Amino acid sequence: MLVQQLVNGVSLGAIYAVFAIGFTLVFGVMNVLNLSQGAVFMWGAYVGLEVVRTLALPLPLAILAAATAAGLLGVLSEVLVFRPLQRRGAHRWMGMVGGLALARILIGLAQEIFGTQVVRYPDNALAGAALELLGARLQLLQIVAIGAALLMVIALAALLRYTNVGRAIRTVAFSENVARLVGVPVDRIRLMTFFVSGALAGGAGVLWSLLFQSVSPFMGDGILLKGLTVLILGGLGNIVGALVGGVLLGLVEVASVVVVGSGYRDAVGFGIVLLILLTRPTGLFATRETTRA
Amino acid sequence: MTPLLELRSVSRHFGGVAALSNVSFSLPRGAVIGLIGPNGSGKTTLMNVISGVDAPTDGAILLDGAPVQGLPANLLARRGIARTFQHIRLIPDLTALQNVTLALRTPSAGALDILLRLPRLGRIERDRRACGLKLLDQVGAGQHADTLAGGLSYGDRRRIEIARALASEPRLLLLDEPAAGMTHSERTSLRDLIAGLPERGLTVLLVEHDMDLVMGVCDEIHVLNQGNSIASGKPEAVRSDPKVIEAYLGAEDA
Amino acid sequence: MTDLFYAYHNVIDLCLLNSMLAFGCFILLGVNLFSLATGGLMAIGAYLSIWLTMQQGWSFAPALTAALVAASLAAFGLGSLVLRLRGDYFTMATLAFTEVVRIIALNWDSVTGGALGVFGIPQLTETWQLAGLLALVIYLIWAVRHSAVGERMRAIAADELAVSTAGHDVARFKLALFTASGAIAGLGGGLAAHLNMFIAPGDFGFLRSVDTVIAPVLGGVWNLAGPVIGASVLVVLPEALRFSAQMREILIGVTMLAVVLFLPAGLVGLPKLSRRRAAS
Repeated sequence: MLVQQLVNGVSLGAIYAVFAIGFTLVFGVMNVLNLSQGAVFMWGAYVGLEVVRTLALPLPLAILAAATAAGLLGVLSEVLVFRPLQRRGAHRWMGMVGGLALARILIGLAQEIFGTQVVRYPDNALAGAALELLGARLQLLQIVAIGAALLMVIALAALLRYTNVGRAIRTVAFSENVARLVGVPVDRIRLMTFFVSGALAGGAGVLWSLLFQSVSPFMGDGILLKGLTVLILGGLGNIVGALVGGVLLGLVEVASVVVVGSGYRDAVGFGIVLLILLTRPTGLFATRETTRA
Repeated sequence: MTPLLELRSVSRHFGGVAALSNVSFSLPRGAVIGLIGPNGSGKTTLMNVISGVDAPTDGAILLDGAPVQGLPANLLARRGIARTFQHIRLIPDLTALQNVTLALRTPSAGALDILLRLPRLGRIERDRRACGLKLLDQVGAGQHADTLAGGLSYGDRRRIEIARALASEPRLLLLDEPAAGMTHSERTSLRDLIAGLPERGLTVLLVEHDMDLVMGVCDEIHVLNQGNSIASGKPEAVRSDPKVIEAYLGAEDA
Repeated sequence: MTDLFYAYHNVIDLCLLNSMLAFGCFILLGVNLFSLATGGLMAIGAYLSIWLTMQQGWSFAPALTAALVAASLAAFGLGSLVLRLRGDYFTMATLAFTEVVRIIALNWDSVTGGALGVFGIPQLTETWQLAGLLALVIYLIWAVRHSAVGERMRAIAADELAVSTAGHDVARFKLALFTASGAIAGLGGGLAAHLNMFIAPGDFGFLRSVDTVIAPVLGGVWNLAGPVIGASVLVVLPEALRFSAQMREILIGVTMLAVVLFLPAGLVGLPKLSRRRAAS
């Protein structure tokens, strides 16, 4: 029972973490809160679904396609919304409203193209498969979700730590002016950051809809709220914080269902956020970098 | 008589860096005290700590003998400490006069006066306007009263900021490089203005790089270097103090 | 004219109500506070007022007053806790508040009817009441803005440190504004509940908060006409675009985006801009 709940919590939390890392990356690098991220997540889920359903390609390719498409949507949000606003020196709430506007457009488009009904991924070998471990029945899907999430996080960490692009991203995060001075192509790096962020959201979208067997144009709102919760739990702009915070939120939610019932599951995260903000005004894992927020 | 302000081993650390360490001195009532030192010696940090913009890591600050270290800026302003900033902090989209009346201590209108627009409101606002105009005239910026502060020259903005500081009827006025960016004639009138403040019951702490101004107007000078107090005394004595000369020369070499 | 009023009085009511709510966010945006607490505060006003009118037999005016007072108190309490948070953290904390209130409403079946909501609420809100209260709110904000307090507001938006060294308690000032915005939200919640005959927790969540704060940004944050124009556009546009629900979402999004990108001063700045274009 305990192992079962643990796996439920971690697989849910892993998806939260992947989504939130993309969120927090853009925040940490560019000090931008991209509220269209939920809609990007939803589009990732649909693209993955179409690849599996109409092209009948295997799941890993579907995740890859979804991540690429969602990454391009991330790029679109930079080009269409955040870059022009930054050039103009607009107030930061303009960015928030711009992100919400883009989300509305993306949700409307999804309704137009995919319809408003809830759909699900076709049954495949993964969905039914389960294995016994320490007396618990674990869905193979959950293991896949955790594994894929882990893979994405490791890939991101490697990108940031070992590649030139990663170094450039970290320089821009430190200061755009410094980055310009040392010859980093800031505009391109910003685009790449938005791509990576969108790709993570898209990947999370596919994993989510596999795990919960539902895809709809409105699935982005819920995850956006979860992402914001994790963002605070982990400290704005803190990637490790987002990873830990995401898994923590998943575990807490699963535990709360057991303790206080499912009705309050969504309130628990926000309750914790309020408590944390009141005791530690810059988040649970606040670091020096995050204080510039 | 207790001094107006007394600093007792005031320190301020930022992480591992000591911006101020164990600075002690006192400001006698009605004096103009200079605070000089090379760039980065901790002058502005000290101003911030005294005015409540920042809190000291250690040490005590006594105003009229009562500890005030760590109190927020608005309370210290109410207790008679006003300041100007090295980087001028006027509100650009308010007029010069509005910037000054912002800090006035004369009673402002109450909620009922404002919400019901009682006749009293007009009288109160006229009084405040008159007070503000008087202060602007005193610093020589009366002609700019209804100009937006953002559009004024550097020297004018400096003077308006001083008028705003005076509007809160302070006993202690902290001036952070008031002459920076001023023309020669503006400096002369600034000097006259500062020299006249003690007669009005003010004590002044002046941070300034213009040595002619500092030497001409200060009763006593304290010298900071790398967060430490290295010399203090009469202007003539400080000017010829070898430690002070070395600090400045050393800073210029760097 | 009267025919027109009857045909569109739903739209007119919503324009008036949402304009009033938008002013609650407007006064906060004026001091750089982007609050998403509106939904939660409205919920408090809405549920308290219908409980009073439907179960306690109160008449409308005292019930509305109670809604206003309760939401002000809630805003005062919330504000004294979260106003010290900076920037985005403040926004997130207010969002968390709204969501917690919504979820409590979702689970407190005896008062809120749970997810199904409350039906058969007496329709007590009249158009003239909405118009009168909106006018009152506009007048009060106008009076404050044209006083020394209004100057202080603008000063806080530009430079809080300068205002506090001038001897003003910025935190207390913001708390007063936040409480006032809570009063507007609570009143609006009570009016909204008695306008539709039906409310459910979903009416007072994230989206409600977002739409309310977007209205003044769309209309214009520095002009008293801004919230009215912004809120009215957000109400009228979907009505005007009846032809397709999906296209409606897309076109609202495009409009919002266009304003954010091309009209920094909001829709209020539109005439000025076109005059300038025409002149050049």
